[in-house]
Amino acid sequence: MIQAAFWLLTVVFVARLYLVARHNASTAFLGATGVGVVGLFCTGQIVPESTLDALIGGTNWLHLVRNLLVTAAVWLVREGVFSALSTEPETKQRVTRRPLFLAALLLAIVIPFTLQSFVPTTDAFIPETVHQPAVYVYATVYMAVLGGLGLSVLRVSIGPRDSRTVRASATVVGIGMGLMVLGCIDEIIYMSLRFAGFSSSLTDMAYLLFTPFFYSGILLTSLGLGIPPMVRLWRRLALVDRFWILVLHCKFPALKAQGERFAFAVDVLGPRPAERLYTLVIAIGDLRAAGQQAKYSPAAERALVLAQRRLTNTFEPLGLELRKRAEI
Amino acid sequence: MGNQLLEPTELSLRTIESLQLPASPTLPHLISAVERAYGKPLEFDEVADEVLADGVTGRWVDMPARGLIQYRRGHAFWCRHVILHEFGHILLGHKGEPADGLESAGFFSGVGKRRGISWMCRPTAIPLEEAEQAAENLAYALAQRLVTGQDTCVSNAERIFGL
Repeated sequence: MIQAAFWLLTVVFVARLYLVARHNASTAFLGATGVGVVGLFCTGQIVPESTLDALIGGTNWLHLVRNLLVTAAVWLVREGVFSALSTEPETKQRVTRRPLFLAALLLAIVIPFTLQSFVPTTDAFIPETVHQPAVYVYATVYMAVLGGLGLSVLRVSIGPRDSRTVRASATVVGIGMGLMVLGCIDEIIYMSLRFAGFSSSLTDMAYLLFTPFFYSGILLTSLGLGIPPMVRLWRRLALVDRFWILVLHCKFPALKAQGERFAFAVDVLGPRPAERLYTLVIAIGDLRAAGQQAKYSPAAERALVLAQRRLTNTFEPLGLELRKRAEI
Repeated sequence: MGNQLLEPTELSLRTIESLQLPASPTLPHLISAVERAYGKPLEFDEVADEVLADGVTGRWVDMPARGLIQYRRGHAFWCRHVILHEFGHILLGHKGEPADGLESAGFFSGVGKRRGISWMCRPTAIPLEEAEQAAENLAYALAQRLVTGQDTCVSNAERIFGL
């Protein structure tokens, strides 16, 4: 699951980077996804934790680095979600949205970490060292910070939106954050039980539940952040429009008589396919009118109707629309 | 060269801007805006082939108290474009009388001057004459707002989310 989250977030990061570099898209979630990718890389799923940790001393500093990166990534997600969705005007002035607040959160995690008795790199850092008060405080503060940030994103994300894409993306991110919060609560319970000296089936269950909650949350958050760039790329490719352009060219060979105005290859592969499809549909209608409503083959008629439906799927019947007026 | 897309002219863009349409306008929004600019109510009439001359897909009849837009029977989508074309004539202030210097009005010039009624029509032949070209350009620009440009209208939330 951690690997899946890493690769998904990497794809989302690359897609967002491409859209920012080539199409001047918003950079709001670019930092969040980029920092998140580095954070997930530090989990040891891609390169063994011992190898990476050895580079920075071999005493589990990687654990701290990863947690700081995840905290920063979640804070950046929160920043983007608040910028886009928060309707309260005073939200922008909130202390919690200032970079200094993030720095304070990170410091609150770093300080207890440095006070522990360091041990050599281990894959089970928390289970093996949580009996140390410094490690317990460090990990509890980290989980509390992350849970708090996640909860605030969840509160803002869920709700009706004008845009279907934003609603889908925000809802998936919100659910992801909700799962992450559950993971944080579960981990605090687990660590508290272990710190208090309890070792039972409840402790084991709490330990086992953390990864499914927490990383499925990260996975869903990554998926949610990936929805808008994927929709944008899908729209840019406009494969459905290109398909109907291809079909209309095949079904209405009379278009060839219009000479260079409708060149097959340029129409199918060229830019602005929706406008090309519109122009083709109108040209076919004009051809028909010029030929006094000449009949085309049933297959051609069907293709024309479907191509029009592609362009008009939000419209009411024309007669009804022409009787309506709307306030401007 | 390919499908020659009509790039909106400065005039078309200015005209659409003056309509103050909402971000995602519908046809009823547009009709209301055209009626406001025109100063008269509009009526629409789908007509049989024999009503319109050969090669004419639709026409706007300007009368003292109202405007009538007649369009040839066809697929709703194409009819909509014919109506947008006639909107183009209305919004660009075209008149049917030959006195305004637009040759395209000549087709109906005989009847155009009677009882204050004037006419404009949309022919299927290409190239279009000056007034017809301007109306067709505006029709495509309006269609872009109504149909093909819907995806490009991006709210602040959509922009931040990466659309």
